Amino acid sequence: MAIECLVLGAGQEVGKSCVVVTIGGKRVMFDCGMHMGYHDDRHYPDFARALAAWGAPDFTTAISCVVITHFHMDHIGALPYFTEVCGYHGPIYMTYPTKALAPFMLEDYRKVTMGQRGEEKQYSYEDILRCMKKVTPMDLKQTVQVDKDLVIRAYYAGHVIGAAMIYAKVGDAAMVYTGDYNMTPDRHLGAAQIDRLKLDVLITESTYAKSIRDSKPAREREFLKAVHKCVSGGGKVLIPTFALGRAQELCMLLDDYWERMGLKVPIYFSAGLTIQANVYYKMLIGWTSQKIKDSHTVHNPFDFKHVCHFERSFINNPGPCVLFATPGMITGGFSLEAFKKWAPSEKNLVTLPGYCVSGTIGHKLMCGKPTRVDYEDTHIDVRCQIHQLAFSPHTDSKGIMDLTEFLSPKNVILVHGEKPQMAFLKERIESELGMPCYYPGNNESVSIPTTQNLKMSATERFITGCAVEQGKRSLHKRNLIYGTGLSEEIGSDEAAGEGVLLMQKHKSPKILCEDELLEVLGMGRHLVQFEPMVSRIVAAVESELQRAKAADLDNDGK
Amino acid sequence: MKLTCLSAAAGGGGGYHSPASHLLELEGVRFLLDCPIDLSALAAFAPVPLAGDAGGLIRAVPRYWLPAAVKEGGVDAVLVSSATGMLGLPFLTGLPGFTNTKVYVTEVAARIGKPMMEELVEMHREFVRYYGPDTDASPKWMEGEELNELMSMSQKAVIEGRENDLTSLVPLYSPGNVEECMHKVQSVKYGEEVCFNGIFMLKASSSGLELGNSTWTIQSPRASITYLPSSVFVSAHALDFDYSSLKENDVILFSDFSSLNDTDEDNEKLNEHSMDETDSSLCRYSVFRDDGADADERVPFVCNNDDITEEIERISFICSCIFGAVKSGGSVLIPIGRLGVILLLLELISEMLHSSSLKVPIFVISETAEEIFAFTNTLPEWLCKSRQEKLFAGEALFGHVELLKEGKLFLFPHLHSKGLLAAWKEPCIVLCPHWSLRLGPAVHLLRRWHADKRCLLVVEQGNGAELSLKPFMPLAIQVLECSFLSGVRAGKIDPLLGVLKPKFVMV
Ligand SMILES: [Zn+2]
Repeated sequence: MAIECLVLGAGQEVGKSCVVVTIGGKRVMFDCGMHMGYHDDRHYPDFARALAAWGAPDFTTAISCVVITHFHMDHIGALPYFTEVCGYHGPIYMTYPTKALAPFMLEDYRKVTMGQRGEEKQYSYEDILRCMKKVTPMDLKQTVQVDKDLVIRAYYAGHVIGAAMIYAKVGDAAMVYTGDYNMTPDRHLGAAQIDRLKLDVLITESTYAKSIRDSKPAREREFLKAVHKCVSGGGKVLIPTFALGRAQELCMLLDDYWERMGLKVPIYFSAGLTIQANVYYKMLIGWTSQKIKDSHTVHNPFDFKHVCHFERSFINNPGPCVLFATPGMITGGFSLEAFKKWAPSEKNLVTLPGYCVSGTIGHKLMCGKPTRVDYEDTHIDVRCQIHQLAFSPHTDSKGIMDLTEFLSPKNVILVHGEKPQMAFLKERIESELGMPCYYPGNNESVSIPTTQNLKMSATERFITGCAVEQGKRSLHKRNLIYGTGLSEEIGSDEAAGEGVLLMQKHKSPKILCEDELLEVLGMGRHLVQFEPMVSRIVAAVESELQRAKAADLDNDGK
Repeated sequence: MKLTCLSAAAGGGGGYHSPASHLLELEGVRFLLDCPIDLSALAAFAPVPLAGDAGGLIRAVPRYWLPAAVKEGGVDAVLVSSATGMLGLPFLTGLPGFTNTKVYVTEVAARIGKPMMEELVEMHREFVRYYGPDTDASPKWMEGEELNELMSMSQKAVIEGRENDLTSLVPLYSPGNVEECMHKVQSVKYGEEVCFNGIFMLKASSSGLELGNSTWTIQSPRASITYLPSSVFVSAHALDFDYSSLKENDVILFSDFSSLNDTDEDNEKLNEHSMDETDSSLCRYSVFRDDGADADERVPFVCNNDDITEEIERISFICSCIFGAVKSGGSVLIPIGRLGVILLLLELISEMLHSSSLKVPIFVISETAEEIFAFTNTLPEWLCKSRQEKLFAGEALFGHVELLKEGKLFLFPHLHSKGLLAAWKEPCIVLCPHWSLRLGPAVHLLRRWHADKRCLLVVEQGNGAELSLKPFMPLAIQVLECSFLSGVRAGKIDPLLGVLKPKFVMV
């Protein structure tokens, strides 16, 4: 049976991640994100079109479960819309931190976009709460039985707190959807970790499909130097981020630097979210890096010493400061307000952490420094410095290649990246790793054939025969397996067992010895002698056996 | 398949402190199921510093019963179901038969078990400081009269068949042994499937009794086996008993003996289910599995909330006794070793004090308190549903976080810790180790308060109060003996087995 991967979002683009995979008759939706660069129909994945294609009466019947990888808006932003407006009522899974923190991200963003043009499909605060109530939280490595056949499991992904890579399995068909991940540890999170799994397909993000980032400490120093230079010149530093994740990592970095350098310049957080976030981060410390986990009883790294109380009016104050403002990418809200105020002065600095999707001011600043930005009806003169953070919580292309090689899936699908870079990475994966690789666009799907394993029993004589054979060859090997039901290990090493696979109608397939076949068939042994010149001895013996077989039997030599 | 019982659940608390230990041989692989420490010999030793005649107890550095698993030679793996179920392991892990042994335990039980071992070693050190180190040769008391006295006094303490085997009484393990033991630990999460030896799949699921406690599923090529230690269906702190993950396993090793303390009538019910099972072929079906809907009807019965309501009522009753004592000007000493009970008690006591506007400080004096309390606020995945909701609402998981912030609760590692005197004010409420009343700050505080009839001592039933209080005579302090929920009620075993539908049950 084939695995069908329908990319509803983040196909050849970054934003609104959403992939629906049909695996072993089950339909699983991975992520349900929104695109922050659009305020029209392209804002959400095209659910209606997919439903029509599936020919299902509603989403709950069409989809077995929804799994969310992490709390970023481009991975979860459409979920309240999908459950409360589209009416999906089936199971939803995400990790504990994601379930705890997602409502804040959703509500923060909802407030920002409220009243923006073309947002008629907006959900309410109550919708967010109702939606989150339906979520089943899961722990890492925990095997979750969604239904009789479908099993999912989360693995640590780094990236942001609670981020997970998802393994899904139905029968013999298995796959991994990575979400966003980071293969190198950062200030507060560990690196992605996954078991070596047998996979038919790996769906991986490819944000940095082409770039290789160099050492992190060097990049961190670069960032600190830029910030320090700006504040010592009396300038203001604006860091537009989302409330959770990046903000904590960068603030740990700054707080530590301030301490070492004895700096007195205030660090602000625009929303009251830091304090709230700290309560969460303290409880979720088990999801941070090992270093923090080991030391948190002594000092909680999320108790920032240099972060000061902030009020909105402070953006008009004179003197230097550092401000973390939401939302990231400068799509509106307070980060836009501060940007309007501060961008015209060349003393100031805007630091862009992480990726900015196209259509946002952040994206415009990222692609070469403009002198003027038009936003809705206002024109903003941009004279300030722009610094782009060269470290990101996404893996680089080396990380993607490493993970792909480690997992060695039969097929690879790239999502969450930019088309030209994805094409480049596809070439590399196919040529260097020899795996078929695809990067479908939105609303396109890829069909992957799967192998099917047959469970078969073996006769005692066959197994004993193999075991003796194998025992001879590898005396050091312990724990040979006897019994029925598990024969994968037998003969899988150096020694191949010889026997006959018997497949009868209405009976499960069975492996037996050649002699036993005759007994089963109730036939005597026929001996066929060949001239030495005949090269197809094996085939001939087989045809002989075939002749000796009852009409409703199939057989095959192994 | 062969199962050997190494030790039955011992001591009080329905086996909470010393759960049963078994050896399971399966497909040529030896599994040790839990390895608790047997502290029953401790009761025969006088606590230090000595005061008065010590009630005729042995005055020497105490010795401890070596886990019976030692005699069984090596094992390939140890499956641990609780923090208390691993306290005996440091005795073994240095032995030759355990060089390649892997210890499987949940992350949380391991994180709690390690400080428990360290604290035990630390408290024991007080004896060594007093008497000087215990040498390996058998000490004088082992030969003399005193030993017989020990036997007669602590009949409960000395288990049959052990009388003549004094070689099993050994000095406590060292910090080095603890480290060695922890090196062998492979910690897992609930629901995580780990492969052992290429042919076994091991999986821990929550048992509901305590933070991090688990049942185990052992899947071998020929059979699936459930190791079922004491379990609680609905808990007020730990994640509920995940019995559904144990459904349809072939064999259940039922090791929950907490209900043996219940009425005889209940015990008979239990016996009806015990089927003889020694080396019998697992391929034979002896119990017909009915795939009926009736099994599902039993679910609401087993997991209704009575147990937890009763438990809260019990703890509320203790709180009202505590409240009575402090109101009359007496202090309260609570040497109870159950983390879950301590956490609940703290919440209920503070609630009661708050509503009465009585200002009485609460102290927790334990070397591990700070670490364990901080830890309990960081494990939402391991808690009951109502506590998980606290995470999603952005509130601290346990009440102690707020109490510490408000300065109503104080944590000190020792009685002589810096700052304790400044904060100390009587009457007060003190939670501290050790429930044996032979180790830790409890000894000193009981000495201080034993003659004050306004004071209150809260101990757990079944720990042999008479013997344990002996060195503190004469007593005027009020003593409240209480019991806590420690496992599946006998009345619920029947429906539980009905839901799990095993082919065999081994008790
Ligand atoms: Zn992300």
